[in-house]
Amino acid sequence: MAVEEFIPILIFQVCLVIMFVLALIISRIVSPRNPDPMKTTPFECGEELIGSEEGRTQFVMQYYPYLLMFLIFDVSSMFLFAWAVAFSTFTLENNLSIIIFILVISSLLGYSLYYAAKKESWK
Amino acid sequence: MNAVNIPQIVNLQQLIMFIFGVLKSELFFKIIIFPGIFTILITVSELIWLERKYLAKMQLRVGPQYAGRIAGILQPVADFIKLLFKETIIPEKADKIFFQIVPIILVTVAATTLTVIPLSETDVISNLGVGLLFTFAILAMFPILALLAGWASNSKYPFIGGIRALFQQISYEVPLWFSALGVVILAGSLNFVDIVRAQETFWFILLLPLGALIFLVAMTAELERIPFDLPEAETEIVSGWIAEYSGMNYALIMLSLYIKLYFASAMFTALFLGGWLGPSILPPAFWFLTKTFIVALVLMTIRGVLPRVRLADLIKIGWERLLILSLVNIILAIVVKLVLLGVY
Repeated sequence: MAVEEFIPILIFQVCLVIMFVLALIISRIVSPRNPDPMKTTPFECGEELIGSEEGRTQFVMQYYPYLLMFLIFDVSSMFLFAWAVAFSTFTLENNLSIIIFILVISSLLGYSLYYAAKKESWK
Repeated sequence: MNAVNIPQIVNLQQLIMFIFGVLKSELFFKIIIFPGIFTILITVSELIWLERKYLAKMQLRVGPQYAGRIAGILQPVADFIKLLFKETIIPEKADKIFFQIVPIILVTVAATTLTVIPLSETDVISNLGVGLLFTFAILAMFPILALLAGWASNSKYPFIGGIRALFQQISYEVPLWFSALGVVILAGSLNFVDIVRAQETFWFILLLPLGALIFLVAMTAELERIPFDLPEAETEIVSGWIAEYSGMNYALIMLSLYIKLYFASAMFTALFLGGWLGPSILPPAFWFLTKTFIVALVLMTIRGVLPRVRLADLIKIGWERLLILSLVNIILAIVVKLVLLGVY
């Protein structure tokens, strides 16, 4: 892996950003502008606002256990990718230890799913 | 891959010659014309037209009809020009800087995923050694951008949509990774060109049908398409995190969503359907694009026939079905690899 491989991607991104910023600027120039207080209020299906004007309300995080599970499985899948590339160069014993690791992950998954389903409040 | 060598520039003439050299170089042609921006925009506008026409036929409507001579084929272009002349409304309470930069980042990031996917053995902008990880790293940015759009709008429906987008996409990211892990085990590489070359005898969809199915379902969720379109459910939360966008910003967001559709089909083609491989009567890029359009048609059919899932079922499908099946898929991939190697 070399850094040069990323240079074409960077040029590509710069071209795209220039293109779309130009499109936005052209749109601003040619489009009409009729400011109206009703237009700039938060959209609620054409009705007048109900409740607070602030859109960022507080939420019940029913799925917090799932977010924690995501952290664990995301990291472990990274390690599995590193192993998968080198799969055919390992011996059977080495691969077996990783397979046991996958089984351990599965049992972890089973327990955390049971725990998360218990916490769930929207059944 | 030939990167641009920056020479010693002394005077103006050399600078002009250098710029001309860059413009004439193969890399620039790749970025602008063939696998690059121009091809992406053409393909995506064809996909938009195809989806509208196909869905219209499924729902016994006519669909786009007038723009362009043949069956409204220029409808996306006409829509783009129409949206160019529309007023851009930015809500008064919105975080204006973030509200404005999200569409640009979104469309750029969506198109960046396509730089590492090869249309043929040489038609790839950057033949990245870690291509698959790169695409996954970029896919992980979309929920953050959706949440940022919902947050910056400072409106109730977009905020709910952004939170839902975050939750849905982290739920389906892990099955997506694990289903691609089977392919990596079989191919022994993270580079897309190597992965396609490894499919010369068998396409991986024949060896890993379960993995292909999981990948398709998880990718549908990542794309926020029906049946997993909870972040932008029209009948529940208007348009989700897109609700406050209008005019050119809306056009860019829709463009990014369809670039994601093209990317998902292209990635499925490269991972499971043998990429550019096909009879050598026609050029490899033709086979690649044909397969990509077939995968996109499958996704459109799913959109046409299925209803939306419930939020509680979303978790059940993601964590309790797909994740367990994808762990089974890893074991299956190991077995297939051992049989193919014939070593142990």
